[in-house]
Amino acid sequence: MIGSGGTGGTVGVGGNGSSGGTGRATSAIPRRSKHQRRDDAVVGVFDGRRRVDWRRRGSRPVPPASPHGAAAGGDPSVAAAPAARNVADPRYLVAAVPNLEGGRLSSHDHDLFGAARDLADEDGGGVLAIVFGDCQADLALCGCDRLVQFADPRLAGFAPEARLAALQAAVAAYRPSFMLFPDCAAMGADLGRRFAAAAGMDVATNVWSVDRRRCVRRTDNGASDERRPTPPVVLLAPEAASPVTGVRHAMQRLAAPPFEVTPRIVDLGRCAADPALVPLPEADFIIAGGNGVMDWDAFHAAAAALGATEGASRVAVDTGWMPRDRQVGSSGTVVGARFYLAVGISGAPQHLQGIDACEHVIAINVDPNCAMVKRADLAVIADATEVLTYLTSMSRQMRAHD
Amino acid sequence: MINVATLLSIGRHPRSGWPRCSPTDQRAVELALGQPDAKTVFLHAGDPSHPVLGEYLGLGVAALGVLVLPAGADPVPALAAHLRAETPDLVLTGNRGDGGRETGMVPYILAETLGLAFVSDVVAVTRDDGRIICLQGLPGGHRRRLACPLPAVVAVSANAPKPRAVSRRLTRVGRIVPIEVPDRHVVPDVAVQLEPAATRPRRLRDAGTGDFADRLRNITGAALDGGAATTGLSAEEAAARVMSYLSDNGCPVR
Repeated sequence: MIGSGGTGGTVGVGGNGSSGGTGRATSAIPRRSKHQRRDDAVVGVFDGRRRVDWRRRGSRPVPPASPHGAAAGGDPSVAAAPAARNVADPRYLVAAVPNLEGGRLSSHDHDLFGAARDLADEDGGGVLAIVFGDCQADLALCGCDRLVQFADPRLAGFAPEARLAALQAAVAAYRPSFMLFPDCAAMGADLGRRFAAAAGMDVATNVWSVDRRRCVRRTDNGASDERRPTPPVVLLAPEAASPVTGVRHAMQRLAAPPFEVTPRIVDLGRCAADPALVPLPEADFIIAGGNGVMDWDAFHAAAAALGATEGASRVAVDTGWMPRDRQVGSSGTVVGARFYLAVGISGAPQHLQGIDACEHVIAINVDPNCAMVKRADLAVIADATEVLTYLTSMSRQMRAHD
Repeated sequence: MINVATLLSIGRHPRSGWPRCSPTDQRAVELALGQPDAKTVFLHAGDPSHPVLGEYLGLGVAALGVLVLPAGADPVPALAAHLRAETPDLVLTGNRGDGGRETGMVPYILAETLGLAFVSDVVAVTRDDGRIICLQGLPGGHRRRLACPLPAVVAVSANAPKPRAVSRRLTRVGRIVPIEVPDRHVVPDVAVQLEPAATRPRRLRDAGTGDFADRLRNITGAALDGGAATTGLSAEEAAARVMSYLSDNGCPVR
């Protein structure tokens, strides 16, 4: 449903104290009997006996309780529409301010809305999304009941002062009880702290478990947990809650209030970082080569053309094709790139540990049974050198068109 | 000629728990010392006899002013009062503390109290008649240029260039200057309860249905969708598949 982020269809963070994420997706849906569920999984009749394939159900979201009763027993290949839910008169509002980098929701943003939903559902509250600029995602599917969307040229680019002013105007107009921000360096961490400092409000940062009374935040370089009363402003660590799935909220758009600002900070634009110089832990897009790379010139050319930072497996480093500081894995560098393109890497356990946090893993390999292919979100079985050559020419063509 | 004030704090090594220089503050020292035509003061709020302060001196800090505060006192009011009197053009700090509560709020509250412009996550600062150009370090190795008028508070990111090594000779040359602070009230904190960090539960993927091997593979990290290996593609088709996957998911292919 909520396609991006590789975490779609998540069951739950698993017993993280208060936020009971597991039952959320189905809470509005009456549970169907096991006979009904089995009937859905019937794929045909063979030898006079019904054949049941549970796997075909597993990939589908739980069908909603449709008032017409039409959804049950339908074609299993068609994903059912999510259940509808309307929070008409919320007792309080939980505001969530997603990062929305480039108009897209990151998995951190999805978690943010999940946490906001948890807080709202404790006592009949509603989730208010406050969004700056364009939003490509359907926030009604993320558990939002109200939306304030600012479309103002002053908010374009990095404009923390204008965003703060807009946020303050929205908060003054709609008075949410809690403000939730993603605690990540791009935007949310800065905006949330600015907001708390300007309002003189108490704030909890790097929070990984939250309910309306108490929250737990990681402190002390990851050595301690601080349990404290939940302040009005909360900055959430990634995976603090599980995203909302399978429910469409009747989302109401609220007017974006006007705001005044005289910005002091001027955004002069992004500078193109040289991907070859980006340290591996910082890199966003990594192309890593292993023992299956036969032509390292083609590998370097592809990395340059794609604008990816180069990494390598231990074998490639040991044989001297790549420097030691480019080794990816638990014995080299643990990376957190959003995109990881593994070329000719079979996926030793240590290597897979090193790419644990990567969101999109793509494998190019000749062995369809290797561990990397199983880990990958997209795996193509082909000769690495040829694919690298085509990748180089295709990305050069793309750039020529731009 | 500008006046720079650099705020230094004491960190804690994540593994051993030993006190150390905060890595972001060390980088702030490096940025401050690299400023041409600038008069820099270095400030710490706390115990002037703390051994870690010597390591800051070893980075090339000639004189380190220490606002004398008892343990557990809030450093922000003392720092704000001192900076208000000194009126530096540029205040450099680390992005957030290293060890301890690590709220990352100190630079924000200082900027707010002093009414100064504020930029976070900075990796480089250059001057450009009357204003500064900050290079902000973003995730993924990206950089953003921001112009900011002076006076300003700038928080330095952990992605800033590495600091120089501590010179043992300089630790003996530098001086620590205690500065008495009139009010040094300890602020009662909100009711916090500290405990050793719990192992955070790993996010499980949907186990799905199917046989045991399938469910185990789903949980332990095999791909959820499209994970099946695509065989029988020509190299060109394979490359096209990879490129379309990258662009569909918003990969910044240049």
